[in-house]
Amino acid sequence: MLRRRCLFGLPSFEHASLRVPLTRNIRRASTQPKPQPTVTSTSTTPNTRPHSRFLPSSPRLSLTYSFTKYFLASAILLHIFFEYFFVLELAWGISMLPTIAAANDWVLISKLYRRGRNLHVGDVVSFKHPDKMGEYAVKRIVGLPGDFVVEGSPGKGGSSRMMQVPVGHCWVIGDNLTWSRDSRTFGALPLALVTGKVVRVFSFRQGWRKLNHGLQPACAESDAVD
Amino acid sequence: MPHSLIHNPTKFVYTTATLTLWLTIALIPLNDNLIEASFVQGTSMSPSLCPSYHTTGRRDAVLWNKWVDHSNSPKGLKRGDIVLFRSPTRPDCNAVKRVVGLEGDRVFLDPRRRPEGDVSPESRAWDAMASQAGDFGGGGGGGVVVPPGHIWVEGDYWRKSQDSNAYGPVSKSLVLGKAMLVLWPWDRCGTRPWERYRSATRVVEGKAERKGGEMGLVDAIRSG
Repeated sequence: MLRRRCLFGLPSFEHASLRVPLTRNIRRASTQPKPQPTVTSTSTTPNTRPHSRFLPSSPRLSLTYSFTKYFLASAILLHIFFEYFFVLELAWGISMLPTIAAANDWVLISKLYRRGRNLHVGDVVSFKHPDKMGEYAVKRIVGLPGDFVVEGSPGKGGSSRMMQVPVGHCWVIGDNLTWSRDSRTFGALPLALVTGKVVRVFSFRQGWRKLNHGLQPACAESDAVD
Repeated sequence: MPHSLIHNPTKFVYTTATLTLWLTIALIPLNDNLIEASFVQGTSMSPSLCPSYHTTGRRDAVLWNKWVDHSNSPKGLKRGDIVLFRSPTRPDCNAVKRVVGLEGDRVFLDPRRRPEGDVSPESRAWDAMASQAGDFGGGGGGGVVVPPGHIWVEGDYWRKSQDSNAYGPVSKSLVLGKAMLVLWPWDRCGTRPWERYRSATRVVEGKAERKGGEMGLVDAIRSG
């Protein structure tokens, strides 16, 4: 009896096809104790492969099917992993400069935080750009729903009006305040656009590095040191 | 069916179970990228969808095309399309509304669609929007101009609809797909009932602006 290679139990071509093996005279003793009396073929040569007169077994067809099967299965699993768990992407731009370099830095995005789940102020998130279709951006969360944030960048000519972040939105700002187009230009960002949280940064020069929580609460001890 | 499956029940159950499992798993990328069927509930889209929801609670199943071209090309979103998008106010919920205005359009606010309540944040935001637009004696040229990358969505049932009148223009990045067909109930299966309905909101079509509105460096170089 042939042993068929199966991918995680996915049936092989012989199982999925509709062909009926007319001649089969070798059976596994454990699973098929008695031979089939319905076999009417008079072939004398022992067949090791089940085959049919209608669909002759073709190695090339079988190979194509097997390749397609493996390709589809890996595509499905990779999609699920990249879409719902983790993805590593190349970041580009100067808006997060002290934290993420302008080029050649890879960000590991945890999709477990998608749509703003379990996010806190100070987390670096990746999101779909609300104005530019198909573009993604990485910024730091400064305000969550209900928080009060400054609308512009005070001291740099921007408005210093305070506003409350609306329900279901967050306020994102790039670390490079002067060269960042963020919530100060496009307003509050819907949390539904957040695709994930940046948990690690990788570059070939520095290897993996953790992202520090950029926004620490001001404490009195640090003033007392001086 | 091969002999081995007929005469080996264990193998038959195993094969059927794994095939079912794989087909279920394959639905995830299919639903994410290509096509999805889902039930729509609520009265906000009646009479186009769920016309009898307020009396019978009957929901409609709709087939969504999730392979949407979001660009400004004619194949992309059009006025009158029904879109499925993530609610801007509730990140884990989806919403179904009709596209009334595309980017650059001038939408004249319908006073009937003002959110309920005099002091609720939605109604105050609506009042601010209307006075800024100049619909009711303000300074603007009348109507709200939909910013680049956004659309104006409204429910068909003007009495009760949580839509752009409450939360403003919606980013196109939030759009998940647009409606293809009604699948359920059976008597309306395969139809597109929303095409018979015309929104009463007045819209002046604007010229589709450049992607992103402001000129990027590459665009500036290209245009000289």
